[in-house]
Amino acid sequence: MTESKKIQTDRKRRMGIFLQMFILSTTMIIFIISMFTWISIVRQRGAIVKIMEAQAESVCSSIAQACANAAVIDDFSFIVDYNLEVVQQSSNILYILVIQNDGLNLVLTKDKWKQLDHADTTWRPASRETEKGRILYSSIANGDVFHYSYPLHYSVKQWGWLHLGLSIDDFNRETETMYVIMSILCIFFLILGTMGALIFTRKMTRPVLMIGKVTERIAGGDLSARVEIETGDELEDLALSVNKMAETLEKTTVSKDFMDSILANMTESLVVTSTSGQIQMVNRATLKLLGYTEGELMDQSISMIFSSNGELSTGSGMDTLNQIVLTGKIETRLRAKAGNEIPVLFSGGLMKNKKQICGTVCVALNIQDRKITERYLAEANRELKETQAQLIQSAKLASIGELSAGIAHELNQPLMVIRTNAQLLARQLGSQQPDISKLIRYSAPLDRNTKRMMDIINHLRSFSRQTRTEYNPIDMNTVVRNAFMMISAQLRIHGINVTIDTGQNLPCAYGNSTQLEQVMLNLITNARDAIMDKFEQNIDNFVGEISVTTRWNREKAELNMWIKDNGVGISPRNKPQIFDPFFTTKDVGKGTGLGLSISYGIIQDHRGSIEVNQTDHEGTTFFIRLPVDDKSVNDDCNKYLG
Amino acid sequence: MLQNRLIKFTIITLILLVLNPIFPARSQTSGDQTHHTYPFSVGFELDTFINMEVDLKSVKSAMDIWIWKVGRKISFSGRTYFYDDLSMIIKDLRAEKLDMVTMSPLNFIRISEKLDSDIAYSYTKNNKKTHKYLLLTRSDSGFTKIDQTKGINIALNKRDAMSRIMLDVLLFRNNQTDAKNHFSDIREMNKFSKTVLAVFFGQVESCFTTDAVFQLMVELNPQVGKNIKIVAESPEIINGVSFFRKGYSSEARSAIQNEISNIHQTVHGRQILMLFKIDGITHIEEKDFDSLNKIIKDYDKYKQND
Repeated sequence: MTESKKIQTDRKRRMGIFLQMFILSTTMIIFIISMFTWISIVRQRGAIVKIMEAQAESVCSSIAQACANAAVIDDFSFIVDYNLEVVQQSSNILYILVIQNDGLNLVLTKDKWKQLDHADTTWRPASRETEKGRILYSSIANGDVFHYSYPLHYSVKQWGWLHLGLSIDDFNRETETMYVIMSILCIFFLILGTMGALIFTRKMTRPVLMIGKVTERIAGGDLSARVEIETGDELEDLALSVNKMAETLEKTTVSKDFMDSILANMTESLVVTSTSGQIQMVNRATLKLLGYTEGELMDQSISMIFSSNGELSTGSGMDTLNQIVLTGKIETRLRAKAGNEIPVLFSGGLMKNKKQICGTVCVALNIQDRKITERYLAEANRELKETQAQLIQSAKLASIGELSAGIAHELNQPLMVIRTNAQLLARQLGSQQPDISKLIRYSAPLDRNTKRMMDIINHLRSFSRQTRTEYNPIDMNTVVRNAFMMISAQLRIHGINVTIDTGQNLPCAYGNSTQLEQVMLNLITNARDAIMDKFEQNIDNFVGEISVTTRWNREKAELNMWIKDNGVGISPRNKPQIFDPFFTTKDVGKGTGLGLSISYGIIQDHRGSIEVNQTDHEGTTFFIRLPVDDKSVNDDCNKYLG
Repeated sequence: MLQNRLIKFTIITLILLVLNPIFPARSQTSGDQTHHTYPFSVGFELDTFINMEVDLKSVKSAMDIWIWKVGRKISFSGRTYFYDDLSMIIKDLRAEKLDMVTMSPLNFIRISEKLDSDIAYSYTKNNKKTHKYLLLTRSDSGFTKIDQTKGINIALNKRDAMSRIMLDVLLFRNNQTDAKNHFSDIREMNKFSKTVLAVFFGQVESCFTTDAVFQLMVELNPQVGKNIKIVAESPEIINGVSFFRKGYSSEARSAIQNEISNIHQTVHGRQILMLFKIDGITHIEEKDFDSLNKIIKDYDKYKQND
């Protein structure tokens, strides 16, 4: 806005709508009154002149009639006497001129009369008609007069002219009176009009000013302000619209006080900076956190509140702001006035006004307590992990102990083969002529069975070994087979049929094979016990069966496993608790109550899930989901592992 | 706040403007009601005004206004009456309908014996309480004496009886016959001024008029003075006569006398003097009638001899 426009706007504001309307109305009234007065004066003056003209005509007419005969008979004494009487008795007749065409020329005033020797054309107008009167200067009266000329007739003959000079004192007096009356009327109507204009203007502008004041209050944050006017016109409609707007604003807008209250009471620290990184505003939580006063922080670079060891550098304010905006939410450390460092979760965003960046709004959440808690939690988690590992190890050892009879039987079979073939070798070697081919045939099983025994023992050793939990690509089908390698002999002893349905071209799972084998052993052991319990029910023709199925769910990119038995099942009452630690339905001394709990933990660690898919009196099915190894997702795991 | 004050100021101003002319008018009206009034009636005999050549309507209006004004001042109310019959004046005076009468000196002498009156005033004109008659002819007529006018025509004021008497007396005193026989033609006109004008314009050869009228005509047109000359003059006789009836309240008369004495000091009084074309009003005595009485006596004497 230019300076001149600004001055003009200020002047208009000072004038105000009331003054403007009042001046406009008053000006209109003055204009109308002036026009009315001017027209009235002109018409009144015309009317007064016409009255004088009528009066002059009347006087002239009577003189003409009275003097006609006298003029014919040259009775000049009558003419003089009559006109002298007329001029003397009429206060407003200043002079009379009687001009005969060919004879007497008289000039009569109130105090003189005389004969004119010669009457020029001035007193003998060319026109034979009655002249209109006019105001002119007369040397006879020594002043302005209303001069009227009248032709004198006798019958059809014009014998002369009569000139009448009327005093314009009455005219001036009437005019003066008219001016006075018009002036009084003007003043009266001006005052009346001004009052009317004042009332009218007030009536018109009062609602507007009221609306203006209310809108100012609304603009100032007082959303409870309302306009209360009843004009019954568009202004009332406008007031209602303003009220409606205020109501809507009140409902939808938070007031400044409300905002201040939020800022003052929020627990997070709030810092507002300019585009150059200068601190523009801080809330109470910031001052309390850092120990500064507001004055110490205002207009300072935001970098001063960051620790030199934090994630955000302590460069210029601009650099710091750029880092804040780029990093978004970050854990860093603030430096308090006392020098101590406070861990915070810091986030910042650009503050825009009309699409222009005008600064940043930063929020810092004090995470000192959370950090301590996290440290404790990490420690507890570590201890829990260790405990869990010990538990797993214990469970493994318990499983080994439980499986030892079966393992012994498993080892006994190759031992028996080795012994028998060793005896056959000895017999053959003790003969006269040992048969080489037989020797070879008898010695071959030795190698094969000892290798089998070595495999069992090695696996048993690796299974029972307490190692660090390492996650690698593993073949789930191998895990299933290894589990059954340790327990299949035992299941055969109990007459339980095992069906293993391994899926083809399974990708690798990503996990720890020992822990997953432990899970398999736990589930198979539970299945065995459920079947054993069902044996005790002496059901005819019942044959215990355990089946394990593995599949690759390509759509969900996960490996699925079903471990199904036809045991007694899990009662609905116990079902919600089966994964709880130390929960067991087995007799005292037979179970620790940790098997399924540990299995649940292992599967959770592998970011998988385990659940009871189905359970009733016909058996139970456990369902396990495991994520695949991302690198081998498109390959058969055996091929991938070589 | 400013708006309210402006509205209040405007309303108060308007109220004051409306009420201002009302209060003085009321106080003036109420002040008039405290006066007690006395009657005062004035009668005018019409012949009084013949010499004055005034408009009777204007005189009556002016007199009514003067009486009303004076009446307001000295607490009486009155009116004016005009008479052309002497008997009616006598009758009204006796009936106390009239308190004051103004009449011509000739008629006053004629009825004085029948009246019980106090002579009071006459008027002054040209600083004289008397006037005289003039016989006028044109300057170029060659006449210097009255006896030279025999056989010429003359213009007279037909309404003025005194001029006939006076002309006859003048002729008799100059050993001439009466006017009827002295002049070839007597033309009667209704105004003295017209008789003068008739001589001026050559319509008649002579006229008989008062010195006041002739002086006025000369003032109006100096040519009149140049073209007309005086052939003969009559003796001075008293102007008009005004008197109170006997028995009129002395208190009221004294108050009226005071007002008459100071008549020239008021606007309305001066207006009356101007209308009557007189200078003022003055006391007269019996001796002021001597000249007139002698003329009447001579007239009667010559008529008897004739």
